[in-house]
Amino acid sequence: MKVLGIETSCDETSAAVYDGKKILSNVIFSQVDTHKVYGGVVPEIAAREHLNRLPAVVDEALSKAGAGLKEIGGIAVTYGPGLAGPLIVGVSYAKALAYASGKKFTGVNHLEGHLLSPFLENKDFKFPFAGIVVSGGHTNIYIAKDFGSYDLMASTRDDAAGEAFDKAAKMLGLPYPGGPEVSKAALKGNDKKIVFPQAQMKDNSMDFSFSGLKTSVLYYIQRNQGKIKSGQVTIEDIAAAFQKTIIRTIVKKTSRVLKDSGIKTLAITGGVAANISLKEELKKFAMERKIGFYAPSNLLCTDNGAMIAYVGYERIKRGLLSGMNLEAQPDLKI
Amino acid sequence: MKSLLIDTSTNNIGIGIFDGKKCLHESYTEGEKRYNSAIMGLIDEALKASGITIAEIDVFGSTLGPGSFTGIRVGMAAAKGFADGCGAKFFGASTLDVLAYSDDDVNTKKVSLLDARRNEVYMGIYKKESAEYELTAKENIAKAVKGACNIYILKRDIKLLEGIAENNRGKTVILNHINLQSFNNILMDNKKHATRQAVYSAAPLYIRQSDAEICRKKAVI
Repeated sequence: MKVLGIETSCDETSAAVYDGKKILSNVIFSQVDTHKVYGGVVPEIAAREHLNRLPAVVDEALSKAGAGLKEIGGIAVTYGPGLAGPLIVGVSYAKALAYASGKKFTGVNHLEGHLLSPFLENKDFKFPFAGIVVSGGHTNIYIAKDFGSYDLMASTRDDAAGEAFDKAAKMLGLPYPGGPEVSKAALKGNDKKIVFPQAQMKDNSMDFSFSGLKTSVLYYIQRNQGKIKSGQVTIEDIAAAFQKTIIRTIVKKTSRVLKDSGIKTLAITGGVAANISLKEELKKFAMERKIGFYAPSNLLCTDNGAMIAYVGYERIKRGLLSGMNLEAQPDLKI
Repeated sequence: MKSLLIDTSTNNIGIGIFDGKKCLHESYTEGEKRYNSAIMGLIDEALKASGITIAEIDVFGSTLGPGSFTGIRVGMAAAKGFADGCGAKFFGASTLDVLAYSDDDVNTKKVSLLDARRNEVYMGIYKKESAEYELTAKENIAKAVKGACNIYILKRDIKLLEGIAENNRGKTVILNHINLQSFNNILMDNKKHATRQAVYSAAPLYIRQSDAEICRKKAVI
């Protein structure tokens, strides 16, 4: 059975075909250039772009997969979490496509798509595993026991890691999208020159908090203009120290989840998983503890239809179908 | 030629199924805030009531706006999804055109008006064969409708446009909803614009920019 997956939860219009064994196509149209001038994703503009692009993206995904709609067994669509307007476009289109073509239809949780994305590239990847989903909207650690059985162990109380990267980039005068720019700058900086504080939860909770770090960066920049102007401290140094703090926080929480659960497999997924330093640190951490480590290729870190097609395939196989009254749910949880 | 036409640009979900000029089914349901969950069920009911299957539809159409941003998204995305699912054609028409298409006299000046909220009005001005669309402040309308033979407004907008209707008695046509029969008449008169290609090329007609675009423009100025 071939499944068509459609993803429009933020600023990537994507469609993909998965056949139960491999990805046959994964077309991603990024709106990053459209949103660049605004310094962030504008939900209304993103929704308008999805509406203009989606039919062509789906058409291309089918054509690259060498499949007509007739050969598709099911249609899966992201119905949350995400931005309301963009989600509505994908859900409305996908429901009508499924209805008109008589295909099986299922709604997919975007976070589940990211969490299970390592299955697309690794035959030896198995449940149970600890999965970090880290993106512009989420910083969550789950224990995935089986398909559909996930425990949320940690999440962010304020800014997501990706959001913190974007905000730090703005403060440092780096262009949008901030994540890759901070990461690039950090590679050239000295991460030992500044020490930013890591947030500690008073209630000993596993949760993340990155808004304090963001404020620390802001204050540091405001109070050390002299050092920055003289070159004693560079933007790259600040980026490196900021990134190091985020990575350390994620590693620390992950370590606790793994220790408490005894789980021996770790995966990092989501847009921020494309950050080389984060990936390398977690890999090193896992290797030292003989823990299996998995991270998707960059194309599967970003929002993509393939991960939706994968979860859709697994849902349809289990008879988990959605009705034609499925609505977009911007705050959907796992 | 069989067509299924959708309008979700106001607070109604309008669905019409036509065989050529003949209306097989027409329904108008209060739908604001529930377009996304309600539309598929309503279309299913409409098809059953008209006695035809979705595979028999040659053209799926939706109004392009202006109007409710969410409504336009749901209606257009659904109509395009249906068209792709059936390998059928797509046809879009401006909501203002549909409102003004209540008669086919093209030689007189006509104006269609739709509440755009924020004390503004979407306006379609039709002279001979030309059409202009505008988003304008409520106080500019009196001047714009001068010389118009007919003014088309929706009943739901009567409070906002009371003065206009009052001062233009006899030439103000008040409609209960965006009429799908009028939409079908536009399709019948423009059959060649119903194409497969239109699934990819038909764009919404928002007229009003997003708040981010408006703010950016102000900042640049």
